[in-house]
Amino acid sequence: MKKINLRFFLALWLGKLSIFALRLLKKHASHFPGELALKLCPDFLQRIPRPKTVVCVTGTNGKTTTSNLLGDILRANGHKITHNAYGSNTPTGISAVLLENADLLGRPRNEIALLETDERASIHVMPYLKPDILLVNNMLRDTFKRNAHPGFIAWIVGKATPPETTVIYNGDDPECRSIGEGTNHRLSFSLRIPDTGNYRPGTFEERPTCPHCGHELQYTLRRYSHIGLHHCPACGWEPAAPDYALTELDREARTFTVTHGEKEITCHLINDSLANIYNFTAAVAVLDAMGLSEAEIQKGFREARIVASRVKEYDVAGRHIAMLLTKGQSPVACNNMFSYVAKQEVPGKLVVLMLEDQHDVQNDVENTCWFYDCDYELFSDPSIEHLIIAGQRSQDQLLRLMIAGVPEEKITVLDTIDAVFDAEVLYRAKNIYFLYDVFTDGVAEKLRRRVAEKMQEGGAN
Amino acid sequence: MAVLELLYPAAGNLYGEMGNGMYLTARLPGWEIKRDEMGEEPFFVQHDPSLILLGSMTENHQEQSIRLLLPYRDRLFALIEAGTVVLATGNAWEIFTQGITFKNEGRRVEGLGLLPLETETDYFARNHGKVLGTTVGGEQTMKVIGYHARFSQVKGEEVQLTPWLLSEKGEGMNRESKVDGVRYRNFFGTHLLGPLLPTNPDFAEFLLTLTGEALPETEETARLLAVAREAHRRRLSEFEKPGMKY
Ligand SMILES: [Zn+2]
Repeated sequence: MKKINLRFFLALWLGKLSIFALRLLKKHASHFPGELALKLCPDFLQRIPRPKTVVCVTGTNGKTTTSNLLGDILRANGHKITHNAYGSNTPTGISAVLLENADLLGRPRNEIALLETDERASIHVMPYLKPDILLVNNMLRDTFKRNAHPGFIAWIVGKATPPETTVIYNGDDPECRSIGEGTNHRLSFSLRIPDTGNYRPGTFEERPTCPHCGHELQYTLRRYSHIGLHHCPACGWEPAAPDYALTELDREARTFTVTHGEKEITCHLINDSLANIYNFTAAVAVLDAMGLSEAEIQKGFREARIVASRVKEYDVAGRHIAMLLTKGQSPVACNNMFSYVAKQEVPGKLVVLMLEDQHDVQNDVENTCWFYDCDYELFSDPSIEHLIIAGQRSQDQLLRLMIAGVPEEKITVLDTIDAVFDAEVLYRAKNIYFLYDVFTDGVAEKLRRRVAEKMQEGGAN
Repeated sequence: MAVLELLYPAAGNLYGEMGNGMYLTARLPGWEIKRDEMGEEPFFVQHDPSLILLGSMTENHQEQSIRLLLPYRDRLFALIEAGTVVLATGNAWEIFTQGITFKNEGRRVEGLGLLPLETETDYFARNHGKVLGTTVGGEQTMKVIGYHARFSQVKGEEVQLTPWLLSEKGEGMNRESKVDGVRYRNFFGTHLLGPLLPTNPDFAEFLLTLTGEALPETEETARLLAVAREAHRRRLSEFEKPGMKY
């Protein structure tokens, strides 16, 4: 850590003043104070005294869910923590929560900082804050404009990780393997139960190769994307035995058990989606590594808030509407939702794809490479009666669906999202799946209401 | 029988690269598709494929691919000299240069050496963006659109080679260059990545005619081509909009 100097104090005090001012204006102080502090003192994170314990949470998916859960559990056990739950996970958001936590001399009030950390931004955060624990959830394909490929992101995170940090990583993800290897104390977690039945694999499978001999890895159990139990058939390489293994999952009793050496920690299963089962296992590992007792961890899981779901379901006048928040341009997020639609065992499904990047519509031409990392093949399932594709990139998606073997007569192509309101097929369907992203969630909600109204009118006739 | 060989799809599948093989599979009913697993002998060693595709990969996989292909280099080059059609997209064509220097690690890896060019990779100098250009390395010129995303720049004696693309907008093979890629006999290398063929169906058709194989013409393939052309037309008009940033 660098010494604190006058510039640091100026940044700290003006930053704190801006939090106070924003509060008076009833505005969120999640970004601006950090931005101001970094402008006044670019090495603010190198100078601010560090809380006693720093935990960083990174990875492609599940950062927010896992860190919120960790926050809930730590608080339930009486810990006072600093957490960027409402802020951003970049240096500005992290500076903002740290300066809020600091007193006027810069000394931290809360002893624990829990920091959701953006993978790419980790290089500007972790070398200075030197986390005691770094949790790496996974390294998946993300929007490649920003994140290139998982191997590169793993390289960045590895470079950003100081040698004194304990790295807790997903042992089922071959892309996480390299982080801290040979330099850090490392603990892995893994799911050691049979297939959970959550995921229906499509035709597109990522095919990582052996870190030693380059041969393609073989999966004895692929859970989703490249996550699962794997080994090298050529040289015999396999990941080390996990330090934390999920060994039991009881959906009826709503419990799960994580085994760590002699310890067996059984907790309440808040939610049983595959992504969350991984998040929970990771959370147990972090809490145990932080020194919480079994009873404390259990208490935390009992009292933690419900994890928000990306799927909302409605039943209206004998019909079913599912709203699926789907992160466009992120193949793994899309494939999880496509798979969700395909595996529902109901007939006569109508799928409405409204994955349009509004920003790109206005300022750019959306890159469509990600369509080919997504499993549109899942939509060729006979249970899917019809598909509506709407938005600027509908013609590209029509081509993608034809390549996937979906008959053209099953597809309605609409050039704008608003045109979906007039699609008659929408008001006849029994089971509707709206796949929308953050840009189209307003329209999606309006559509859902319109359909529900029409169905109720129809039901009254 | 006509054969499409997908060289190391386990590696060369970044950024939607599988789209090329997928599109051709739909476009070419009746063609045989061969996938080469890494660590096993590629199909081309004992047979004559009609077309070989190799796509964008991680930098580790570039190194691995070079290592795995080195024992078969003479055979691969002989096929290229004899006119076999090869398309290497994204950073895949860089493995055919003289070498790749990984600046962050201070080391250089010997390339396969087909092309008198050098590749430089710097993880802290990532660049990506759109490209709009015209193919020059072909019997017919056509407009091509696409994306590139990489940490690398390719440098060298460009004048001695026929580039594949003259970039109207967007970056070429290095920051100063307005040309990208290379056409050498029927070897095509380009930094444009991902689903290059479905995005540019007329270039795909041109490539297929070079194979000399009979191309299936059915109602389905005609419709596929029509939809791909319409999608291309729309995207091209967006790419050409005045003020579009590259
Ligand atoms: Zn191996």
